[in-house]
Amino acid sequence: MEKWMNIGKSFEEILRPQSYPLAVKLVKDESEFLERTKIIYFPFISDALKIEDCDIALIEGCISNEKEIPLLKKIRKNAKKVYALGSCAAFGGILSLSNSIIAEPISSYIEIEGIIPGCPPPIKLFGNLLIRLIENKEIKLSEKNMCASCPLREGVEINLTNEINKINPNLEEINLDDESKECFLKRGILCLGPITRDGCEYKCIEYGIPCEGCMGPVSKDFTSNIINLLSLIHFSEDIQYYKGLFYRFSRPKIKW
Amino acid sequence: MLKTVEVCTRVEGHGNVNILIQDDNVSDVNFEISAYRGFEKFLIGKRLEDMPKLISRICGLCYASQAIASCKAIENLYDIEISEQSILLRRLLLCGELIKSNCMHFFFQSLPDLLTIFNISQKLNSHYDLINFNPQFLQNSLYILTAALHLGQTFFGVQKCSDIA
Ligand code: SF4
Ligand code: SF4
Repeated sequence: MEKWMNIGKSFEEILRPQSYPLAVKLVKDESEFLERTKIIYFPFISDALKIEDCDIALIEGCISNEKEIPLLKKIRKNAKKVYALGSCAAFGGILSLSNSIIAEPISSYIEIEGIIPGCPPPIKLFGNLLIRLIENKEIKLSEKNMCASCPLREGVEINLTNEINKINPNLEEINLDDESKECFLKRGILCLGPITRDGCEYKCIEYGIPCEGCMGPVSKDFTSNIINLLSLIHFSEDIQYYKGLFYRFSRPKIKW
Repeated sequence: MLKTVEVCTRVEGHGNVNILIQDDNVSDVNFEISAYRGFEKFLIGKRLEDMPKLISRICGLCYASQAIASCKAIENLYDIEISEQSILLRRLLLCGELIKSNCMHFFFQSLPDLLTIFNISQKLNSHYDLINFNPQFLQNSLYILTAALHLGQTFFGVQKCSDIA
């Protein structure tokens, strides 16, 4: 064991930097965290299969099988607060693309207190919200769309004659240079920023690819958001008929 | 007589194990994963450039293997030869995933059992109890996970790497 710890030490030196991952931080404030929490059901790492009373339940994954509904209701009965973790549980997730199987967000079957969206949920957002939950505070998500604080936003006025003819930039067009950056919509590439919730710190955009909407819709009225956006932009012929651009991470109708 | 272990724990998703017992002997064992996800169906008609993005969401743990496999399938289709550099980058990415998933499996899924089996510690039920067992040790294992995470972040972008927090 001595040896393993030494490995750990040298990693500590390499990685000491800016941000500890959340888990390390929680272990650091270990005593307080331990006093406050206890994991009672988490099949991924433990064998406990009984759902007991608890304060917070974080549920991952969409409902695609009727067998799961009783389990879901049982969790709701036993937990004081239930949150949907990740875009699958919150909006239906990637399986929304499928026509052949159901992929319902958990809010279709039970009432939930809130959601933590993202595919996967951004590390900082998840960490901050989790800490708030443990401190017994309400969690609040941004009510704005991505464009509101996007770094490429400057100088954007959506030009109605702009034709959107691509869903991904070509390799040569991916340029991480600050100066040459311009809003994707202006460049004729579809970006779902206008209808996607802020909170991921524009991960994709900083890496030179447009947003595909994994943080889910800004409001429950997703369809009318999409129609609004569609009224502002023109699609070229070949992507007009391409399916699964908007409802990639979310079912059209969501309750929560 | 058919015995079924309903939910296999410590696997991603759900699995069942069916054990068929005849005359007090096990005659057959089946492991079944019942969840049908339907990726093979809904990927039909999608653009090739969308494939790695969609496919890497089959599960949240082995996104790198899935993305690379889908790229390889596309390359096969068109007989594309990729550069040495791309191969090296992919290998690095896979290393990140390998370190991460082995580390998760060893420290969080098997170690509590091993410690109990070899009588090193009595009261471990889950990785959660590792904190009590040896906080420094758990913290170090998390550092290894972090290193893997950084590898993934560097070579795959930040987006798909937040699953260990
Ligand atoms: S459309 Fe996309 S690139 Fe343009 S400002 Fe909005 S989020 Fe940024
Ligand atoms: S930029 Fe869009 S697709 Fe990328 S992480 Fe953020 S919400 Fe998700």
